[in-house]
Amino acid sequence: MRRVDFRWLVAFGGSFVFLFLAGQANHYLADTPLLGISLHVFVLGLPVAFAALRLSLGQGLVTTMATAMLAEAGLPFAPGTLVLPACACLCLTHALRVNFNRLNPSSAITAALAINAVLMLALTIATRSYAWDGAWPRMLVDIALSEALVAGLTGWFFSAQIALLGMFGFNLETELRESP
Amino acid sequence: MPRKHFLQARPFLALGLIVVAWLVLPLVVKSLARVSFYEFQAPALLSASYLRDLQDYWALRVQSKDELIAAGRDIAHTNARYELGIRENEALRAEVERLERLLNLPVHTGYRYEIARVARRDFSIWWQQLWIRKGTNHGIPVGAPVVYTGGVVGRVREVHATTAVVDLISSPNIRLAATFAGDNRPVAYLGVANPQFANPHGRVQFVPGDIAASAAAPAQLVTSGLGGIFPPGLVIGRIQKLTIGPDGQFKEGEVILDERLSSLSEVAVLVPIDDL
Repeated sequence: MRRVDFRWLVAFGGSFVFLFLAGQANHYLADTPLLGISLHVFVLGLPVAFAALRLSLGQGLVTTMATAMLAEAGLPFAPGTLVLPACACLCLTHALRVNFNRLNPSSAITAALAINAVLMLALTIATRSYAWDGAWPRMLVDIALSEALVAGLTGWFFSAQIALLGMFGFNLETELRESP
Repeated sequence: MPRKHFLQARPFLALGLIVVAWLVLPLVVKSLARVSFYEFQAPALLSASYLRDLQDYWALRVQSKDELIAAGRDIAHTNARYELGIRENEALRAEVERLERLLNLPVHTGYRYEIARVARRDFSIWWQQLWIRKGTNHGIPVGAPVVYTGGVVGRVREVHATTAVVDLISSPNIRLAATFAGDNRPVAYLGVANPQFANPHGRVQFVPGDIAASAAAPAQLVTSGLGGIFPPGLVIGRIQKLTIGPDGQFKEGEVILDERLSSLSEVAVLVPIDDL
C-alpha cells in the first residue's frame, strides 16, 4: 500500500512561520520612529523557490498553492492574484531546473530573486493604475529591500526547511534521486 | 524520446490544469478557501498582538512612581477637559433632537463606538491596512467607518470572527465623497500609493474653481456624509496647494494626512445603531 506523503504539510508549516515573521517585521517597519519612514518587505518568492527547487512537482504545487493562499488572505486583491503567478513561477522553475545545479546556493538565490520579482510585478499590475502617481521611488526602495532580504535569507530558509523536513523523517536526497 | 518530452511538458500541463480548475471553480469555493486561510493564521496574529501588549505592560512596570504620578496628573487634566466636552455635546444633541422634532426632519443615524486594538500594521506600496482585534463577535459590520482622535482612519473591508481588516484612508482602495470645511459642495477624495519618506497623503479631485488653499492658510477636508458610510464632518486631512486639473474646469491637489496614522495602536469603529 502506498504511504501518503505529507512533506507538503511540513514545508507549508515552515513557510507559515516564515510569513508570520515577515508580517511582524512589516508591522514594525510600517512606522520606524527613529528614521521616520515606512517600509515594507515582500518575501513570498522564497517559499515558492524552495518548493520549486527541492520538492517534486506535485508536492511543490500543493505547498505553493497553500502558501500563496495564506499570503493572499486578508489582502485587497481578487482570489488568485498571487496563487496563479506563484504556481506559474513554480512550474517554470521546475521545468528549467534540469538545466542547472539546483543544489547550488547561487541557483537558489537567483530563483528566489526572480520569483519574488515576478510576484511583486503581479501585485503592481493588480493595483489600480491611478494610484501610482509619484510612487515609483517608494516602489524601488521596497523592491530593493525585499530582494536584498530574500538574497540574504535564502541560505538560512532552505537549511531551516530541510532541517524541519528531516525532523519529520523526510529526506530530500531521496526525492532528488527519484525526480529529474 | 516521447517520455522525455512528456516529462519536460509535465509542469506546464499541471499549470494548465490548475489555471482551468481555478477559472471553473465557483467564487464561493475560492472565498471559502480564502476565509479558511485567514482564520487559520488569525490566532498567531492575535497572540503576537497580545504579547506586544504584555511587553508594553512590563515596560511600564519598570517606570518610576514619579513618572506614573505625572502621567496620572496629565490624564486627570485631559479627563476634566473631556467631561466639559461631553456636557457640551449632550446639550447640542438635545438641541438637534428638539429641532428635528420641531421641523419634522429625518433622524440622523446613530453610531456606537467600538474601541479596538491594532493587531498589525501593514503599509506597502500596494495596500495600507490595519488588522484590528475585533470582528463579527463584537458586532462589527463590513464597511463600518473607523476613526481616531485625529479624524478618519479608514473603512472596515473584511470582518472575521475575532479580527477585522481596515483599509487606511491613504490606501489606493479608498475613494469617498468629501467636502471642504465650511463648504457643502462635494469633492472626490482618493487614496494613493504613499512614499516612505513623507507623511501619508491622498488626492482630492473635482474641487470647484473658487476654492483656494495655501501653506499659510491650508484648507481642511472633511467627510461629506454622502454615500451613507462616513458621518459628515470627520477630518480627513488638509490641503496646502490646489492646481487646475486636466479638464481645465476643476482643481485637484494633494491631501496631507495626519502623521499619527502610521503609528496607531487603538482605533474606534463606528457601528451604526441600526446594525445592532
